[in-house]
Amino acid sequence: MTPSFAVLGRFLVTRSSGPAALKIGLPLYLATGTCATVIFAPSGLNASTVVERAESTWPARLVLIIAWTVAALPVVRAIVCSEANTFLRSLPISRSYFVAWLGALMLFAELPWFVLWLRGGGVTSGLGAVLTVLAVHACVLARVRTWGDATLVAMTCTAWMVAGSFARIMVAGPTFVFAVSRAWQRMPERGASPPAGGIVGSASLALAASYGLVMSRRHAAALLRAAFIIAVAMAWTGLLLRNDDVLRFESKSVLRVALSAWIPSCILAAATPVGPILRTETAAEWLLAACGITVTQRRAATIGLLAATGSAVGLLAGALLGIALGAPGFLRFALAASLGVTGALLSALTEVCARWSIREDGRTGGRMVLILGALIALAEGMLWISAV
Amino acid sequence: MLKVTEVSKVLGSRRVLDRVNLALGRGEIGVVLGENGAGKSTLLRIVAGVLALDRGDVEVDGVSLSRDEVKVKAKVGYVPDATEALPELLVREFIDLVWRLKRAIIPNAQPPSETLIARLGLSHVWRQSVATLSFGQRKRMCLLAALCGDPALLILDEPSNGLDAEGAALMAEIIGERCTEDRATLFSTNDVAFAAKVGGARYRIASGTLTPA
Repeated sequence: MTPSFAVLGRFLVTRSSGPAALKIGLPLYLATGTCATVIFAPSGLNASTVVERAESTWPARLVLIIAWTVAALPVVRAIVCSEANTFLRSLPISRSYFVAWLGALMLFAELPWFVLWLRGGGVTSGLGAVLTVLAVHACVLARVRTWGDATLVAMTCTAWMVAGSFARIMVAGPTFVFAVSRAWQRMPERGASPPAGGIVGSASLALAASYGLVMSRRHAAALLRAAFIIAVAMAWTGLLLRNDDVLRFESKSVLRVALSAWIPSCILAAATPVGPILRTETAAEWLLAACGITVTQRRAATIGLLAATGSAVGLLAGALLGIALGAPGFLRFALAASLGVTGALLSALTEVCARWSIREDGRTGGRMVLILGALIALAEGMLWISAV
Repeated sequence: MLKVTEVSKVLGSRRVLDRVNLALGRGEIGVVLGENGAGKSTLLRIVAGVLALDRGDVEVDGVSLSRDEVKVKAKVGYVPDATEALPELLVREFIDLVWRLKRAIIPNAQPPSETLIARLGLSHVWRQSVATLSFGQRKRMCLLAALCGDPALLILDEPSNGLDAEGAALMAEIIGERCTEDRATLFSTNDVAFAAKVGGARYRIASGTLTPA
């Protein structure tokens, strides 16, 4: 081990990639830990059941890897693409050192995924799963540009879907090493410009549209995470209503169950993009001030964007839930309308809470979590009281 | 056109501007010189309405910034030194956004003409992401954004920074043209050659006070 290898590692872990990843990853790991505590409670599932089910059915395997890839992508991106690493590239340090350290840090970021497969299926299964997800993440960061890149991604995905653990290790291992090296090499390069989006209407509308474009281009992973939260909540609601045969009783009960799952998932999902949107607004502060944009116009843009999105997602979720349950026409309409209206209100309320939290705290952290928790508890309490 | 009266500003524990006075007539150019950290950008940001002042007042065309902020901003175009804002947007989208924001306070504001876009060398990057532009190209883009709505007063913070020789000459040319159209320009710079090329009344800022250079 040469001195520069250790020095580089210390810098990456304590000064650049490590802190950047920790800042982004902490909520993910806390959420994963909380979910794992509930799912793997003594009376609940165990890791072997989950791994066995995933190994026996390809859709479950696919959903699991997509969910973890999306959830952990911002963390591994922070490790490889940390701005603080840029100047390191000019130093006379072998690229293999970077690959080794960044690979090790990425492996550390994937620990929850590794532990699940290790406990559920043993060492080979754990290594196969973690190397596959590492290879996929590294390929995403390296950006698929050549036929060679595409072939590697295709081979890794095929191995995950159709082959056993040993084959996964053999395919994903070399892919991971190669792709991390490529990702590091291509890190300072910008991606191709996206297709143009529409900025239309009044000042507030145009501002909302530009925030929407920024979100879709820079924070796609956060949006996917929000969509995933809603999808899980709605799937859970559908299964619960079917199993308990609530539909036989009355429309009110169906609405109550749907709302009790929708409210927390909607608030959590809305809280995901609200931070990046408010940060974008702060970055454009000089522009907004110079153009004479008032506080009301600014707030109309952010609240309008979140409320419109929340309403659209609520309408869609309600309509899909109604169709999936085979509910009668009136109930389908009621589900879509109630989820749409509450979606708009809760998303707007989340924005208000986040803005207040930033004003008081200077960031979206502590207070925001407390307020949203209180909001969820209040809404659930009101539903419970109305049921009694 | 522009009247800065007794403007003071404290940032942290430091008095950056202390009773600063400045006047600029129609078609005039004002150049603010000074060392790094002297307060040039702070003064320009206050005049543009981006930073609030602690004391004094700024008037543009007889309208007070503290009384009618929006009316003043409708007459002002501002190009900051750092150009970080919404890098995820395409150049076209950024300019479209600025035009729509300005249209809220200047109802008859027109989108920038193809000729101006081409003149500023932005035609070939029009559909490119702002993040992919060089610093000089971003500066040109911000100038185009500031010229939206044909402002009576243009405020430029270090306008020649990051520009190539051709770009700096173009910037000087545009400032000169605005002069002949009775439009005022106030800019800060450390680039003595650029200041000499543009001409205008020179001021020096030091220890918070502004004096004719």
